[in-house]
Amino acid sequence: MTEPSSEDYNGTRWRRTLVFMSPALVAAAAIGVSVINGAVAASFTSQSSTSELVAGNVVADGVGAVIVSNPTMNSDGQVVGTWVTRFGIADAQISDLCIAQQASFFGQPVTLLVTANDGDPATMETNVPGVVMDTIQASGFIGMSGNTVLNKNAGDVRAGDSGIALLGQPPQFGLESQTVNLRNVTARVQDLVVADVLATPSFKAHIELGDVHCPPPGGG
Amino acid sequence: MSRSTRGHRLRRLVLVAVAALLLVGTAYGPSNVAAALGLREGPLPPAPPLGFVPSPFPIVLDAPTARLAGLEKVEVHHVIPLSDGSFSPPDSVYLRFKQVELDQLVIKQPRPGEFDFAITNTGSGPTAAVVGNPDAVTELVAVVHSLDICVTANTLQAVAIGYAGVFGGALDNLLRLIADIFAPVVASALGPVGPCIPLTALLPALAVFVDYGVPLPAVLPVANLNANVYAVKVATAPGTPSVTLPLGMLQVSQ
Repeated sequence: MTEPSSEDYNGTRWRRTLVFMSPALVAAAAIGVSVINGAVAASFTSQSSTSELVAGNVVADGVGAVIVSNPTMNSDGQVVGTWVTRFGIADAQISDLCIAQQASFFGQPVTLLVTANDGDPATMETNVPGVVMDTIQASGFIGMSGNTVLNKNAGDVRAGDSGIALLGQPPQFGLESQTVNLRNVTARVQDLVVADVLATPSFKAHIELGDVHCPPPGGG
Repeated sequence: MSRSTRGHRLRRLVLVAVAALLLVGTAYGPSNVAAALGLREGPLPPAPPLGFVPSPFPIVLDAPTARLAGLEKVEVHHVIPLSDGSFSPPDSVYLRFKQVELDQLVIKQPRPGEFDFAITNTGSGPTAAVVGNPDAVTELVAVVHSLDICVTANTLQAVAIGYAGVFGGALDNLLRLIADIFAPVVASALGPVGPCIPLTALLPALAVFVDYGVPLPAVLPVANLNANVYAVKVATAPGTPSVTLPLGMLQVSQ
């Protein structure tokens, strides 16, 4: 007796459907994880869901961070404010990047996975000249170096000399640092706007069925 | 003139001469040294500018234990302007040092009705949070609610005597000041690093050491740190650590 092939099953053929629907899913999911070629900006409305971001190593030069109320469209279509820590990074080098965005497709959980990983933890395979990231939570090794200030008026915070508009408003908290090194970091992000990430050789985006998570940082 | 009248005049003359010598002896020191020793109170020197305007909302810093290295300057009543046009509270303290290691660090900014912002580092000892580095200039302006410095009277007195030539006529007053500060804890059980004295009580003595440029013990153990911090600035060379959180977490709760 042979095992029935997937074609013998009744019901929706998810894999086949996904092949056709992938472009639409990518477009929908990319609302949350905005991968943008070109100017890096922070002025758009986010969706309420968040993405999981995992990175083995990040070296970020010219870093500014502010607490802001980020315009967010909730499930009712209303735009409300979500408080986030907004990071602006003039230049970032990243090793072992993974972003997972869970979504529902006709009731079926699916996950958009974006990875940039050449398999060698020693190399910083992703180099992006400009990042804006709205973060709800982040954990891991956080090392700032060079001149650093804490509790700077958010309206005055800059991401190095990048010209990235963080849209920080007084009188919120702000932070500036010449360089930030993150190692084995896991974060929940609401938005990630990256310049020229598609130029990264090892950049991949694909959809998997179910709630899929990024592997733990550090290859653990 | 009777002998008793002459003796009385002589005593007054000696008293005036001693008073004059004391005044001359203390005049060469910075003005706040004299204030710290209770001799007079004068206006404080102007606050060195930080180079940025802080948010009017302080961040609350908590650490059960810490190690403060290279304390170089302490100023009380160091009021700074804030971004909404207000000023930090009158009891703001300015500290300049090289680095501080903070165990079980919690930095938070509770904003009821808006958000709670927190930066934490759960580590201690080798995984403690570190602000600054051995070559950095780290400046902090805060209202210190609690900060106990763990040091013995003997340690401070030994440093004072070792620099007797620098303190000159102020040495005796400094030694007396140290003895007075530690008097309440003389009978207390000493821990491995000595009794832990509130910063506010130690400030008069510390200010004398700092203002005379006399180095304090390289590392001062600290306990029960709780402060509303208005500004932190670390000036250091590119590539050298300024804030290190080995087990860091950053969170914004709605």
